[in-house]
Amino acid sequence: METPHLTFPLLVTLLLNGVAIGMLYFLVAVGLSVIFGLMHVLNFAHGSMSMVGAYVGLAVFRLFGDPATGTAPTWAFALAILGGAMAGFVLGWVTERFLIRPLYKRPIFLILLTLGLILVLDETVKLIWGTSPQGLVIVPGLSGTVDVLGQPFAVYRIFLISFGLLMIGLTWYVVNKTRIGIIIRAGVQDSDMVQTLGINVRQIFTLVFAFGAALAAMGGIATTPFTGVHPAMSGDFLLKTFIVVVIGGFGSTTGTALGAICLGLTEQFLPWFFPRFAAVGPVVLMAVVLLVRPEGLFSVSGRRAG
Amino acid sequence: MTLLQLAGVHTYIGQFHILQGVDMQVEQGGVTVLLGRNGAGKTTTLKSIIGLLAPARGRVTLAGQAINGRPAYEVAQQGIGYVPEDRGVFVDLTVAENLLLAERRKGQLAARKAMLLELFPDLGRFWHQKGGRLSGGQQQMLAVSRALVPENKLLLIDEPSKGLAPIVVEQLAHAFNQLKSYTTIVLVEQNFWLASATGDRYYILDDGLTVHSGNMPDLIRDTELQARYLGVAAKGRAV
Repeated sequence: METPHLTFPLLVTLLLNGVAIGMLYFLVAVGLSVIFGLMHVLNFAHGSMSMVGAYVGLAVFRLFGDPATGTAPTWAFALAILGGAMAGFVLGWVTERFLIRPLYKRPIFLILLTLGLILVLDETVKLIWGTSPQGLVIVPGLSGTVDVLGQPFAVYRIFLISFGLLMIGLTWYVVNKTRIGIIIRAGVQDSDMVQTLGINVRQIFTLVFAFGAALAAMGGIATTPFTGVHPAMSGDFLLKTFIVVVIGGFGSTTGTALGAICLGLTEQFLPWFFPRFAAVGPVVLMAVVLLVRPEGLFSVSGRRAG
Repeated sequence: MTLLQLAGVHTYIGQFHILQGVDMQVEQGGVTVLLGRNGAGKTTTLKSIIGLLAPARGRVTLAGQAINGRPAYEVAQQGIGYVPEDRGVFVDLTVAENLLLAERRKGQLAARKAMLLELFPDLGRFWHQKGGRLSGGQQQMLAVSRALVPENKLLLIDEPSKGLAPIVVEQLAHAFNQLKSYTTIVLVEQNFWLASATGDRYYILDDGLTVHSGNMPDLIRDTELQARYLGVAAKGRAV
């Protein structure tokens, strides 16, 4: 097959697209990564929490929208993100506090629990919102394109990059510059030792789980203008988040950000050069990382949250 | 005044019955050394006090209040500092962050910093270095300092001399002797020189039971007891 001619403006567009998609993956994956690093809980229901956030966000959006056209004011989208995040926070808090906490000493049961939770959340969503895909129209303030080196580039993707960078910055600040961040980084290494310093690590576990689910829910609603909302999206999210976290390294927020951008770029460039491998490429990338550097490409010292 | 008391403490790790009735009484002030061969139950005793292991039977009290069965963070908040055998230094955190983590009230580290630096002057040089970059001796100094950040009534220190050079062990002995005026220490130690240079009282554990106790000078003189339970003869400095 002839390789298409890749011009510089096109290269920049692909790069920006990759980064924008990477930001979405970061939002969804960072919670999974830190939750595993801190609590050693592999939350298979993390993708379903994103999906619930997307559905709740869409419901909030529609409260303020025009049912005939499906559009809504720009602020309605901000409320949708906030509503989805709050739903994710509450879902994460309840899940950790009442379902996961009693099972910390039984890791196999935890795996079964989170797998079961996928079925419960997916079926609940189908009962409430049905099985048909539902769309969200990009709000006026974020619609349209801008010119980047002569190539049209969607304003919504610029929003995603900005929002993603803001969230990466906030996460970095919390993890590296606050007391709670010090506790999280210490807890990733040895949560028993943190307890012996007089810190109730379980409370931190609940908070991290809830915030992780809230970020995943934000990622869910932010994806909606691209993919719509549908019950199968939880599985898509789950696979992508695992790929991101394996590439970046479990427990590392910086690694998750880099892993997410890496996956976003792979998904943009692979179809361009090797279209036949576009679907399997990211999974092969994950397999190679697992074989060559199982602690993740961007992990400095095994498990860490920095 | 009795600060810490263990009465008939039994602790299991999985199906193994490690502590089979440990009795101990620690008076306020000074250093009480917990001695015994490998596997006697010394580390398990400390973990049963701090709450990392829950005794199946028996009673642990701190200043008259029962603390057994309570989570480790609650026990620590009662005023107990713990320095584990592996030092428990967080390798990805700086020295300052390791110490800040131990604050139970804002400003505690600032208030204690001068005292800590007087005790371990080296810490000042490594203040912003990651814990993982410190030598074994520096990590031990950090671990002990971290237990001193809050105003703990009692420090539980597990084999601080393990793997350290003799000169560092001497520094630790000096520091522990200075600390006697601040707090009470329960020290698990296999190095008989450090135990005898710092200890005021001792308890010997064997197969999970308290088999002997008394004043340290008596044990230093009793070479037969040392040979029977500790496998050492305190000839000079056994560092």
